[in-house]
Amino acid sequence: MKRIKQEVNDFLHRSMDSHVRIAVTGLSRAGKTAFITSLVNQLLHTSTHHQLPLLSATRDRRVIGAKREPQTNMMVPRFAYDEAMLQLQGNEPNWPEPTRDVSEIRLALKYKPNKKSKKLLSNTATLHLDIIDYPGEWLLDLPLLDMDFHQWSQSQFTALSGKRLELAKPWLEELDKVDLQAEVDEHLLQSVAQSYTQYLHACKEHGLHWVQPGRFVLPGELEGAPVLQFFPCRFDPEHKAARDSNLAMMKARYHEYQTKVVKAFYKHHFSTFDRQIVLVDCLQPLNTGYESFMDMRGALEQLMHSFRYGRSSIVKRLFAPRIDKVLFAATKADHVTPDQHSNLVSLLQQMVHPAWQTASFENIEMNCLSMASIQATQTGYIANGEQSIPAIQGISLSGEPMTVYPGEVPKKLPSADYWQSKGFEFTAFKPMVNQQDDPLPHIRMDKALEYLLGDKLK
Amino acid sequence: MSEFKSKQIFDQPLQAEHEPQVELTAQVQFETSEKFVPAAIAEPQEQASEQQLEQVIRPRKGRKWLATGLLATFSGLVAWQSIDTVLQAILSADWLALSWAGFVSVLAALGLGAIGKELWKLRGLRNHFSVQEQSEALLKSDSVGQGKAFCQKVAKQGGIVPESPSYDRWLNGLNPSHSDAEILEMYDAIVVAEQDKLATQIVTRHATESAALVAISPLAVADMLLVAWRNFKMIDNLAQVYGIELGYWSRLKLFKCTLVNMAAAGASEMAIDAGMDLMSMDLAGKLSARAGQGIGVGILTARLGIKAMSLLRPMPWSPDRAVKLSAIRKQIALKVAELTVK
Repeated sequence: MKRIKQEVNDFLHRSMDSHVRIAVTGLSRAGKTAFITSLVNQLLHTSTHHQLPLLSATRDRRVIGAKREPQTNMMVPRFAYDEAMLQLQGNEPNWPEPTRDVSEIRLALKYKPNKKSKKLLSNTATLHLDIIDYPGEWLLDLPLLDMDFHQWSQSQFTALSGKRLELAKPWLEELDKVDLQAEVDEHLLQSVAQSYTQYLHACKEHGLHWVQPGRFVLPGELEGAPVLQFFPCRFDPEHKAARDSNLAMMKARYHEYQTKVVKAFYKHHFSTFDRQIVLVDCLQPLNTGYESFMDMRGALEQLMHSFRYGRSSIVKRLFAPRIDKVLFAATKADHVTPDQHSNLVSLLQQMVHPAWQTASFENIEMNCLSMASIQATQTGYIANGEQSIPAIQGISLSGEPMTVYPGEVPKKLPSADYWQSKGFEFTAFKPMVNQQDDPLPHIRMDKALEYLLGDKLK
Repeated sequence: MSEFKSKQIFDQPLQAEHEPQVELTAQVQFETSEKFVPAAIAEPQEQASEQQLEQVIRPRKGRKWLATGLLATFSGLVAWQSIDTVLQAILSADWLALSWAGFVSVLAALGLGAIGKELWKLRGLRNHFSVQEQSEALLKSDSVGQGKAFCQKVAKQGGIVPESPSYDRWLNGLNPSHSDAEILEMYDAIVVAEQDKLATQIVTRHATESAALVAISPLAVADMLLVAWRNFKMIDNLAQVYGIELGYWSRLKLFKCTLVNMAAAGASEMAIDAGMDLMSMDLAGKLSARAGQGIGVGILTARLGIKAMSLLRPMPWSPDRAVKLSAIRKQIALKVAELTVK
């Protein structure tokens, strides 16, 4: 009964356009958790602080306040906001723990509407905001929904080039030993799957992001389950495999993974979004190299296929919600000097170019910006003789204070040879010490919010 | 080979501000020895009419040297002539002529002073237009580090006291990582929006006034004079709100600009607004023909006021904050209905 009431409530909210679900998308380590923590923090402080001047509703003092609401989906853990804040606000602040499981948080935002239709009913209106956090690794599984085992294997083998091929060597050697048509040998399959998992871990360590299946590297509660023990195989799809062969087992496991793991994840969390922010850390692949950049680019494009885009109308909002606005954000803008922000954005444009093309077909609004969910550095200038050089100041991850000009961000990705002679070296910083009751410092969080929510707060 | 500036670690303390004269935006990016000059691609021309309109609104610096030369020659000749006359008068001891000359020259000096003052104010207006152009350029660029100084200059020119709450709010909202466009947008939305509110009130007041006056007065000539008087007054008041001092000529020029602008640009806007305008005209027509006339004039005045506002603002309107005619129209109709329907 309670559930029905909740559903009806949700339905009403959606029909009134006062319910938004935001998809915070990004590969692992792109800063999703930091973004959500900062978003919740900034919105909760709207009643007392004026730290969001670029969000028009707060600039015009129309937002009255925000509070957390009990979430609708009881089966999903709550987003660990308090824990993350505890990490960020201690004497020695640290970044929140990386996400290991799905979690959800719900906010209610009360504001004074400008629109006449909303004013008609009452002086204030409420916007409900659903945000979902999940490990970025799992997101990479979504493309699996459209592929059968053979197609997937093919795609994995075609990706084996350059550094990947090198890393995959031990696994490939073991793979050669497997006779796919032979009777099932659980032990053999397990050990090959293990070496495949090791290969995936190695990929991640070397800054390669396109790692499928994502649960292999971050299994969650599925640790050790046979559904996670398969690997891509070379075989002829025309040739029928015997019922109890290794190949049949692989296919069965892959199918199980597809339907029970990926589809469930997709159905529960991914099919009903209204707005999307794609967080991209452009600096990390610059530090690692050309291949890493291109790999991330490919992974992002793959991701975009899994979302539903399109113009929203009231009927669609109710029965088949789709994303009508996408924001690509280059995170960690505080790790470079402000004069490099425009370069960062143009690099981001290059990074998301294929993804942009995928989504632009649906005639939706898209934008790129650079931001820092939680500002970790202070910007300023260093007087150096006659010149003054822009610089940032912060505490590096190893704990030493640093004042640094982190180097130029290239407008366009340099060619692969550039890394042979000279690479990039962007330092990672720890968050700044923050007063207990002050909102977290940020860069352009308000602009991102304006883009994502601005029209809903009118 | 190093195309990009590399990392640098400093020991000096960090400074919050930097000396503005050092240009930070200039970056040496590529080796000049292997310079590649791509062929210039001709950008598609903007519509000619748009550009003409721009020129009407913001007069370009024309061939001033011709006018200056002519003026210089003329004033030189006049000076020569007057010195010659005075000398002649002294030599021939014609004291009456000398007194006349003195009297005329005092008059001339006064006149020259007035003209000079007007020219000076015209210069101010031109300077204002260049401020508008600069802010447009800044809004389009992704530069960093010039926005704050620019806005502070604009605020000083616009006579905004540093203690004013909106200015203070803007200053507090700033953050060193904001780009110039963002700083200008915030200035526009926080500080200029306050001025806009005041200006809208002025426009509304004058528009309703002239609407009411026209609706009551039975004489066509009186109508025209009344409208002209109210319109001049309105432009003057608007200029005061935005902190621009207008001389007689500049006011006239602005008035003319605005009229020409209305004729040119208004045509398209009128087509859009026509539906709504016609409806309120129709509504008013039912009240009485005179009230209808009054509302018509009121709407025109309001339109003029809004155009003048967009010319007098230090920055271009942002589309979602622009003052709409519809907001003022309703009040005009109300006022006129109040007067005519008893």
